[in-house]
Amino acid sequence: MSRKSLYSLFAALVVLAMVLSGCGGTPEATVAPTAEVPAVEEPAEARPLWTPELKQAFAAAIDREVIVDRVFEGRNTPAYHMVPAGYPYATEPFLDKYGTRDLEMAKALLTDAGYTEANPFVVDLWYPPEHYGTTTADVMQVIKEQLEETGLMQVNLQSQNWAEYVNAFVEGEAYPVFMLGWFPDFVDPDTWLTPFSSCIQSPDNGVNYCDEKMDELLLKAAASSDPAVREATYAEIGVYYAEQVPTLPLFFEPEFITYRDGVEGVTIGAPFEFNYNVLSFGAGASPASGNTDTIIIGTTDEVNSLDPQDAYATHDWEILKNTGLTLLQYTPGTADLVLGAAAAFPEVSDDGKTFTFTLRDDLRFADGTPVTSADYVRMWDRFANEGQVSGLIQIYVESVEAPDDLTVVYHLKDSFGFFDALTATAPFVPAHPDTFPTDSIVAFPDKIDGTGPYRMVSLTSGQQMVLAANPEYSGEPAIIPNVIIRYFADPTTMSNAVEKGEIDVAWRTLGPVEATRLQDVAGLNVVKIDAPTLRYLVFNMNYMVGGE
Amino acid sequence: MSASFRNFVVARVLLTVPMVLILVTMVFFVMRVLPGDPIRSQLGPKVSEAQAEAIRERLGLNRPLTVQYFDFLWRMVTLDFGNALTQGERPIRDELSELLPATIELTLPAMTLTAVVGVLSGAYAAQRRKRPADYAIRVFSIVVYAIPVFFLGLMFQIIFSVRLGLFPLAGRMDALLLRDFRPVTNFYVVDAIVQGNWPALKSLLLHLVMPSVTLGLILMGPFIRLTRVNMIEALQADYITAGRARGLPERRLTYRHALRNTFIPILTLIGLQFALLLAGAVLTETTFSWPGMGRYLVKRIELRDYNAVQSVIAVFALAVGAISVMVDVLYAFVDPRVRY
Repeated sequence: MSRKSLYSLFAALVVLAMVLSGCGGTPEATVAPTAEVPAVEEPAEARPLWTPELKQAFAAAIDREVIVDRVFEGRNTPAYHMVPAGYPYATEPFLDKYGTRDLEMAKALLTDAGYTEANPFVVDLWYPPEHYGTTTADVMQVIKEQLEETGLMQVNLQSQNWAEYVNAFVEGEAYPVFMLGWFPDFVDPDTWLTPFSSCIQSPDNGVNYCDEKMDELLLKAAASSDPAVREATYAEIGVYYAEQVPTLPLFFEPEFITYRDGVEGVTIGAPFEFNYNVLSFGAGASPASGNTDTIIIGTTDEVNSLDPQDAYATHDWEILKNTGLTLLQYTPGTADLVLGAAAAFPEVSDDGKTFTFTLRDDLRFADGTPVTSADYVRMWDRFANEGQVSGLIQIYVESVEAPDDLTVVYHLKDSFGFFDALTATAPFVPAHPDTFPTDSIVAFPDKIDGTGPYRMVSLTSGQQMVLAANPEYSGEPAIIPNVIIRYFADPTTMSNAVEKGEIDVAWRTLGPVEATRLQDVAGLNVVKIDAPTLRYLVFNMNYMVGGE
Repeated sequence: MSASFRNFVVARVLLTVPMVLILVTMVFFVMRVLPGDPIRSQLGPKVSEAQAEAIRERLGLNRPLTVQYFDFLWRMVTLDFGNALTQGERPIRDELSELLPATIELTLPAMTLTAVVGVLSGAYAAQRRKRPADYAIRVFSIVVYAIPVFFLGLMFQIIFSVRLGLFPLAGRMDALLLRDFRPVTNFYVVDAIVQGNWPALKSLLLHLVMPSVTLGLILMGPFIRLTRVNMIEALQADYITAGRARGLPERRLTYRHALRNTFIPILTLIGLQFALLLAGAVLTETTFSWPGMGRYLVKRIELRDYNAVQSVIAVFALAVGAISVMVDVLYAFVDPRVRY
């Protein structure tokens, strides 16, 4: 081929690619809306597809126990509310209203809505086939069968890759009903309810639900610091949620942790925190490192960011909580809030908008630098860098001040009774001023001299992270002084590594297939963790039918 | 070096430029035609649309496509690939400086194993044509060619690591040794030798065995088949018959005279297989948790990290282009009849 021809070919390719990119279009342009209503009652004007009755029919027709048995062999936990058991004020309103399943109720609701066997309710049910694991397609198939068992529904399963899926449901109009997963931000019912059923936040999750009464109830529960008021309000919200069904909880997906004989102290409670400092080697242990002063933990997670005011991934928070001390923290294995960097529980103003913390006077970073209230003001300033997690804090906090070295005052935008739980999350880990400058995000620091039981000594990208006991830690010293986190590319290799003894603990994410296999391997202990990982259906209230 | 040969090399190198340009241009636009964006792929719905838009603005994803394209081309020319769009937004050059040496350390022994064992096996099969050894080698070549790389890797892990305990399971080095290892070039083997760190070197070599053998075996089949076919033809040539008539030993005829004359197609195959080697490295690195370019590429495609994917593809394209040029140049040395 001559050089001229080659250049012509190149030019043609560039033009073709540019044209193609211009034709990409938005996701909704590629999705044909297929949800239908009875032809006999085609409305003159467009209206939302979903009525509470239609959503209730879904809730009544779906049998979570069958899904869990058929697809997960009983490993998962049916979800009868968005809020998982183990969380404060958790109830089971969907079980109370619909039982495990009420097919007759579903049929009656659909019949009342005008659907018949000859003219069924037809809807596209969307899911991402890979993002939540390979079982998702099986789950959706069971749901389809259960819904169609009413004889009054026809469900068309549709799948889409995750990247396009997220764009489509955030855009708001593409999918009528679709599956999603949720992992909480902090240990309070609010993080399970407000994101899906408040007028302000529900669009971010594709629900687009807005109801005055629900908003009032959510605000009332969130604003109160009185446990009795919160308990009664969340019970009321539960009942209303099961009636309105903004979303339909399906099941909680467990995690599995596998550790070798002799490893002790593995305890992970409702806050889903893995505290390395309480791990130990008992009698008869044979550590993978060959020495009881070092434990090796495997994971398939990756480091995304280790900046406390940016990190927003489960593994990153785990590292930050092990290398940093939040104002309040949880007793390992429980959801009991105890003191962390704070010397006492906060004083809350009468209007509930001001939380005043007094810091411990012996707080130091791992290099000996004292921690003062000014560090907490600086943390607040760092959220202005627009890190990934900034929105989580900025939505609640108005300003932060430090009247003296040991006093931190948080002025909130409103009264939030759960603010103490929020202060136990990773964004409230003090960032060392030398490592994390005020005006920029440092996602991959060379080291972390934090305030927690460990400091991060090194991170070899994609291979391992080394933690060593923090000599300045103000709490009980770590039992095992050295921790090595080894990063694996896939769970099968990690399961082989724990079987062979190259690692002491195989943590996230060991799938059910590997966990089941390892249960039969001598010398290994497989423990199911009731993780707060929810799968649920979203009814998109912006999905319109009828009209021109 | 003759003037005509020098001209040929210069022209060949210059032709690599449009080849790389076409490839990265296609990747640039195809990545953007694909649905999904890096922000939502990584963060899902947990950030509001306003926040996502702010991040897009900060990363320059809202600029016109042509501006982004020429910006990328200029960065590529200056070998400053910019920052990744996801997972900490690290400078891609820093990431590649860690990942590329790992991939080279994996692929070099794999390619060597493939070429040496593949060619010698093919030559041996040709010499033992229609005998049991020939049939066995031919079956072997088909089997290793047909086995998926991840399956072979997994079998090796279970047999040679978990059951027999002969080799480490995954990674580049033992965790404790890696903790105290201070690489300079990120070519760990070179660093270990330079530093005289023999325990680290031993660990590195042991960790290399299973992934490089897995990758090498997968690519070995075509070498065996090609060498065998060309050797059978060469062994029937007049100069071999003449050599045999003069009483030259059969082994010398096969491995010195016939084999040398089959090197042209073998060299061509090496050039072609190099691209497949990089593709194989993607799966091998995932199976053995090898921290190289392949594993990185898979993850970044999932995250729609345009900058990272473009940069890795550009490096792959440059590597394939460089190997092609080297193969062309080597023709002249292998076959004196080739003139440029």
